[in-house]
Amino acid sequence: MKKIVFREEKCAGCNICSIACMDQNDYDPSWGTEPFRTSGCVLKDGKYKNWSTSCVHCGRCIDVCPLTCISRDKETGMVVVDDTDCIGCGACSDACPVSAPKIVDGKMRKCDGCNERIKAGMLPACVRACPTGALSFE
Amino acid sequence: MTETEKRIAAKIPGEDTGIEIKKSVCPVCDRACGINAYVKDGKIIKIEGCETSPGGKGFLCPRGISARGYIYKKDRVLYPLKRVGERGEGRFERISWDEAYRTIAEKLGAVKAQYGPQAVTVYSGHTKWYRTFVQRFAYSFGTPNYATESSCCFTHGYMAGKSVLGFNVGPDMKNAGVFLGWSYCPHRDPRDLKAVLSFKKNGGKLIVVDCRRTQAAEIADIFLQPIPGTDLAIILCMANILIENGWIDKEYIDKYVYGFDKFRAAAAKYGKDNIEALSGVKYEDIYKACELIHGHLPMAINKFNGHHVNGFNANRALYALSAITGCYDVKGGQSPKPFAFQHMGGGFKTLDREFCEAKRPLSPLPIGCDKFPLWNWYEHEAQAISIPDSVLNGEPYPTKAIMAFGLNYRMWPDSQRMKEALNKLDFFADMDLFLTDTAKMADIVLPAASTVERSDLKFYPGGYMWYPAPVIEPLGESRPDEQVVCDLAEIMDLDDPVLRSGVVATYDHILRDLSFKIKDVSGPDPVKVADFKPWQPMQALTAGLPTPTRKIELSCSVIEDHPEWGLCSVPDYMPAFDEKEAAEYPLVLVAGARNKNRFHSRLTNHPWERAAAGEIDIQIHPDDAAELGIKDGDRVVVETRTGSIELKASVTEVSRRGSVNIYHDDPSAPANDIIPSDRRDPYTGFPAFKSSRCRIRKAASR
Repeated sequence: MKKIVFREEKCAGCNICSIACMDQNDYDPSWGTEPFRTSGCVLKDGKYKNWSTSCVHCGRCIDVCPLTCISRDKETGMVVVDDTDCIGCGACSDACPVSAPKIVDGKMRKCDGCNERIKAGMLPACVRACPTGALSFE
Repeated sequence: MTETEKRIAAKIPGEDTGIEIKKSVCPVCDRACGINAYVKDGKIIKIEGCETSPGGKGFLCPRGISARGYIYKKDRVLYPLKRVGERGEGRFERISWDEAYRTIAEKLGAVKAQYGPQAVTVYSGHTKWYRTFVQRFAYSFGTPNYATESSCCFTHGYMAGKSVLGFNVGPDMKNAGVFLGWSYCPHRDPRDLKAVLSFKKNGGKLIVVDCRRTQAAEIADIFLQPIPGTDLAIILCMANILIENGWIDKEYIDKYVYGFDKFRAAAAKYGKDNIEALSGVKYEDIYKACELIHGHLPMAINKFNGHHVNGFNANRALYALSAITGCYDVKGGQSPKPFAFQHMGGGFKTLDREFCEAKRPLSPLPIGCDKFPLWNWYEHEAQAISIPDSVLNGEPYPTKAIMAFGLNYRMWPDSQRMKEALNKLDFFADMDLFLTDTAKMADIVLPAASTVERSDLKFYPGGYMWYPAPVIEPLGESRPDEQVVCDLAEIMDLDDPVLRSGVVATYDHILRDLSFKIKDVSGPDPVKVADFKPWQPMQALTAGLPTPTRKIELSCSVIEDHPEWGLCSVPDYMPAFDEKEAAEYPLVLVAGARNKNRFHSRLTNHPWERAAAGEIDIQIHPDDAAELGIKDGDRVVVETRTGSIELKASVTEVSRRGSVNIYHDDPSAPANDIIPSDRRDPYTGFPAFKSSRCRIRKAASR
């Protein structure tokens, strides 16, 4: 199964991936959370460090959810959420190594790897928009 | 959720979801990158780059990828508005287009009757695509005062190109051996980044000169970080080193260059003894850069914005480096890039200049042209920096009304003075996409449609042209700017049958010498037109350049012929700063260095811009910050002799020691408010955005 892969050496820290993610997921700062994908560049000790991070679909959140809202899609391998029963307890967020789950209006939201786009034969929005090849789907 | 509901939520195009992909053009800037607009129920729900477009080839930059939020920004003007509150207060009443047009016609007509047509200024902000229409409208109305924002941004470099070479020019990086990247930051745009990475991969050498340590410094073979505003001295020092070592093309100079000896004498003043004191860059490092240039010719050079008092001459001197190394009009050097339409190159010529010139009133001189005669010589447009002098002081004569398309007073130095001028006008109308703080000053505000809601003529490299169809209906009652110009020409009964014949007929009139009409380039994709002629090296030089001497003019013959102007015919350096200010204002302020996520004020109030780029800050070098007791994130007050602003400090090695950077145009920390407007480049009238003096202190805690 294919995964979203990040190669730091190719990243320009341009934020295109995170804005494409905002566009795909209708991100609004009024959520009071960070967008699903964050990125950027910082200069320290004479060197630039570029990054782009999001949910890595490790699945640690699946087991801690008390209401089994989170599952792994069998077709794509992406960790997805059905928030019908979600109570916004935040256990998923606490278990996450990269704080991917966000609680918005009492419900958990996170990157689903653009699950439906993948099923439709398309690339995840961030990968599609990345001009340098730092993000790929392989 | 059903499967279809999931697909709709994920914006999957298809018959089941009712989502259609429509090709259009990015509305944020003028580079016309192709977009795929995902449209559902007449609304754009997502944007991606369009793979088949010659603009971007499937990718967008960080500003372009934000385009949906730009189109639907909450402050879009949707209807014609009449001001009912005080200027700037923001209280408006919705009116009809008919009433708006009649009011404008009546008010401009009244000013013309009482004071003469020159008392009306017709102004264009950024963007540029509609400017031919706006300029012709001004001239047909009878005023010589057509003014644009380019008179403090783009035009100084264009004037330098015209004076030295007779053309706008551009680099042939692909075939170059060495690339001189002056204030060069390719990481802002994926197209530029891909080009430079491929250049490097093929063995090209990169020299970057920038007062900021951007990501370009990381990929450079040599990086020089001068004191802002002093770069002309470095360019002259480079010329001196190249000439002294004989690393020049003597034969080429003899044949194609005018004024070499005068230029050599000017350059000879900058060398080992003074360059480090002037520019903060070691002579040895400049020498190494020259060695690299000499060893890897041909050299291509990027165009840059020299927004300081030496800006025009810095651009001229860069063109001189190209000339003395024999790199102009050769493969891998600089090539002529004459504009086809507005500031867009096409590889052919439209009649847009002739269209405007045919109606230009020859007197009186436009405002600002009396003070800046070289500007008048090349541009004969109003130098808009003089608008406050005209409105507030009546110099050289009063301006009483402004009809503007996208005016932003924060673009101008000492912005509050420009605002004061707008406040004093008898009448001010402004057409804009957004109800900006400037639009709030207007008596009538007209709603502009964005690129995806209308059509306009786009030019791409390689002779590709496109007049794309709108992909959504105009928001509210917004209209295209050129339609408004044509409508106004009709309602005001102007003696201009062409403008009054409508938008497409006017375009076809401007294209009449070419093989195609608007309908021929209105298909689903850009098309290559038969009129395109690719650049042939040495053709321009052999034919003779469009300068008075037909040669590359290192000494400007126009200036030589006009000693009364008091200008120097060769690009000589003048002190970048007023040394009297140094003790009181020890730091150098740079306002307006570009930022990946911002494009002037276009994305102000955009919900994703702040999320991606953070709040507006002042960038201070760690050593300066330590000396001033400022920590990262502190609120600080920045003062110049013009005023002060308060904003967040970021302590970063991006800034050079002794200089600080603030992004421009943002209402939260309007940097141009504190840039003095009275220090101007005498050649062009440009202000010192990139080299004013300031001081910084910690803000009182709130």
